[in-house]
Amino acid sequence: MFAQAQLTERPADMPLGKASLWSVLGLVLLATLGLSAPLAADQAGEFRIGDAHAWVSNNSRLLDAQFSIRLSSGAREALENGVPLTFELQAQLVRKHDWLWDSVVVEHVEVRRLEYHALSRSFLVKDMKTGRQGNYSRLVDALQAVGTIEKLVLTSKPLNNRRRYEVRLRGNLDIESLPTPVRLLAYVSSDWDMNGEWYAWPLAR
Amino acid sequence: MVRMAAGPVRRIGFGMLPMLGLFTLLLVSLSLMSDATHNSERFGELYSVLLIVNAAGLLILGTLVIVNIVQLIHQRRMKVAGARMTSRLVIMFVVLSVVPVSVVYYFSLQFLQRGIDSWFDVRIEQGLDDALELSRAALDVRLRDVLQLTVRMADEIAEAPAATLSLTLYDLRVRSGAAELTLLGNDGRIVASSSAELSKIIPDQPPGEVLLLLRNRQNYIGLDPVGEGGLFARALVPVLSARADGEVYTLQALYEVSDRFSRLADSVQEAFTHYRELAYLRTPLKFSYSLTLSIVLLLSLLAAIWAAFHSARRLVAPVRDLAEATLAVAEGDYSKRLSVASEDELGFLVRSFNDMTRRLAKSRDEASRSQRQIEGQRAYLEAVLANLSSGVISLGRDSVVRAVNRAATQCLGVELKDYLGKDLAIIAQEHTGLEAFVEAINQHRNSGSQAWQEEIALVGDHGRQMLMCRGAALGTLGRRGGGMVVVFDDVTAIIQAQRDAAWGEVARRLAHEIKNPLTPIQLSAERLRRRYLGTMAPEDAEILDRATRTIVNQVEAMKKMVNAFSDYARAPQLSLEPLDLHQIVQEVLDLYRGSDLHVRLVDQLEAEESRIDGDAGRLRQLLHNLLKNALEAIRDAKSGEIRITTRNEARAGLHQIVLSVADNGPGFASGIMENLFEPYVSTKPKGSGLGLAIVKKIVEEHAGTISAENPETGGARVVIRLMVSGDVTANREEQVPAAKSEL
Repeated sequence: MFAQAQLTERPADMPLGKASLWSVLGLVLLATLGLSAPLAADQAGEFRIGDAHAWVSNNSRLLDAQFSIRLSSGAREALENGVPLTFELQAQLVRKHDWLWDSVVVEHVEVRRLEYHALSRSFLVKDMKTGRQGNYSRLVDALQAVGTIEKLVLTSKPLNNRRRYEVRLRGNLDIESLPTPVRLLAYVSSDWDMNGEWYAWPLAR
Repeated sequence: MVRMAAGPVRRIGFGMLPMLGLFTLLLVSLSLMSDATHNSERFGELYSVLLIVNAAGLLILGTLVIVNIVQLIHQRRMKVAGARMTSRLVIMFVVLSVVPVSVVYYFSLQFLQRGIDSWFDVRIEQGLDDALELSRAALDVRLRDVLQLTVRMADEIAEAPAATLSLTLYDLRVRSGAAELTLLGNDGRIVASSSAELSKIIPDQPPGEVLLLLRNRQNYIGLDPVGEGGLFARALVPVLSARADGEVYTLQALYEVSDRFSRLADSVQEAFTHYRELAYLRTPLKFSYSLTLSIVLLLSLLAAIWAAFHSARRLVAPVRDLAEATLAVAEGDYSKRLSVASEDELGFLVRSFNDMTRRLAKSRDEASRSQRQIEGQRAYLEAVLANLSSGVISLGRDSVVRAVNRAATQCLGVELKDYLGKDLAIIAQEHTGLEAFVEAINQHRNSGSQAWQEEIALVGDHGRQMLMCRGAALGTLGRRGGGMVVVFDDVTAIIQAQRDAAWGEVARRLAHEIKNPLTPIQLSAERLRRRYLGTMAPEDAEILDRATRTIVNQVEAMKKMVNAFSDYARAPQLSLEPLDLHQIVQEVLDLYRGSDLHVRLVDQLEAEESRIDGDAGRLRQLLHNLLKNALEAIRDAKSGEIRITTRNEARAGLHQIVLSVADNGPGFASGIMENLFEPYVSTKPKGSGLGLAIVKKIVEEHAGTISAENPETGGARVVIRLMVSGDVTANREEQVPAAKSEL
């Protein structure tokens, strides 16, 4: 599924913690307006790396990865009520420096949308880049499809063997693609917290 | 009490234009945010940005308002002008704006909640659920038909030979109207396939979960939403073949749901999903709208408060300026002018204030000019007074000394400056010599005479002094008893000169009228004597001899007397030159010491400064006269003593040498003390009465003073005061130095 996904490159200097920044600003706003309320989390979301593997084929660096995704209660409720969820899977090839900050050589972002089809009682997963779509009667299968990266070409350019590189992976729920009224809540409520941490491992020479 | 601020009240906050810009920006931002809340395509992506912009704007406004409030509180504590008025206006404005805005906010919130709730209806929800269920039911019928059709096709395939599987599939697909038929192997691999779409090379594969289901040899039928709104029915049926290989194939058939059916089902699905989504978004939507409304409220409130501060300051500014300017005027700064900013009542007030300060400044300038003029006149008057040779004393209503000049001090020999502001009577108490002077003035004061003139005789250390006094009442606008000015001159010298002139005339007449007949008388008497003395009887001759001798002697005596008077009257030609008085005294005393006298001459010449400008001959005559006078006074005394002393003395700023000649005789007769130095005054049987008169004349020729007294220890004493060298000129030329007055 989703093999040979089309790659999208983003400028290397793009800020990494955009969602975090929004969260902070949202919190500040809520605190300012005095509308902040304790938001109990029914089920914590999860977006971690289950399996990741980078390999070489025909001088290209390829990546296979499987994210383990568990929807938070807020996201799950929204999905069941017909709100489509958009997920971003970020993969970076990073060049390591001893004294300076690490530099991002290339970055790929996979965008996938998950929605519930009430008539067929199935979940639809669509790759927003390729337009490919899959139907799943079980949410678990749909989430697995969302979190699957197969044969993603990290780079076709030869890497300098004397340099150190590492691969970073991260997945998160794209709050900005949610309906406007939910966004503020999603930023500040732990019910919606599904942001995964960066998972990094050195690239074998 | 309003205290002045160090400077004008500082205005914290933006100007009017930037604030209007900020309000406009925030309003536009809020409008966009409100639009974005509708989930509109255009601004949906900007929602978070707009939220941040609005929050930042509110933060700026809030900070401005807080700073303004803190500053106002500080200004109130510091009692800055206008702070209280600003506070009252701000509170009034805020109350006026907060109350209606809050009411509108409350009701808007209510309408908002109810309005959103009214979108949702249980019946609509139920209807949509039912429609969905109906769609599913209708589809289920279709799916069951499709499944049966597929089962039949699977039976046909089971019986078909392996070599014709593809053709069979094609034939079946055409007959059944399926979109695609695929024969799958055990492991999911594609054995054969036939698709209505010629371009489709790879057939659609079933999901992994379905393949798991088929391993149990169960049928599967499901709906697959494909692409944009299309629906496919997917049926999977095991093909139970009795072929030798024994492999169980699975037939997958995809049937396209009819266009109309598919469109209707999509519509139901879409409506249902949209309604579910809306229902789900109800609470967040309310929250978003409430948030937007709250931001609008906050913006309005903060803007109103800021506007209240701005308006209050604008209103209070002229009042504050007026208060500050009034304080400045109270402190004497009349140059304060305020700019007229408006044409209303405040503008009128400011204009009136400016007129007032202008007039005050003008009055002050005029007063200052008048004062300068008065001071100039006063200085002029002081200069005139100071340079007057006449003494001037100005008395107040209660005979208090108001002003004196230097000539008055010198005339009276009393430092009158010390008595300024004191009663005139105190001078008389402390200086008994001036009693007659003070008494005369008081008499005229009490009599109420407007102008008077009187000659007053004072007897003091300096001898008899004649003052010519003229007084005038100082009245203000005709009122009486306002005070008095007394102008007086020391006319002692003038009177003396007149008297001397009179005596000179007497002497001249004596010389002319008396001396001339004396010679014939004497000659006649001598002729009688020569002619008849020898011819007369001895008794008669003796009588004649005695008579003629008496006549000749008396005529001789008269001649001497007339000569003495002549000498006295003759104005001597003084030749003043610096000399040592002590030396003159010693020379004269040496003459007397040489003669055989029965008196003791004692000299105590203790004056350190004994140089004077004088005529040595006249001074010797003076000393001779005094010594002769003293010798005659003690002629009958058993142990006569004449004591001559000198000492220095400073009086009224002048350095003097005091020469005192005292004897231990009987002293001056009390009856002649007043006229002691007048000519022809003598108690001696042989005296001509000119000795002391000449002495006094010589003293006056040397600008000195003379006095006589009978000391308590007995005897007589004559005291002469002469200016030491250098002070004589000053005394003669600068009789009237600076006057001191209270004018």
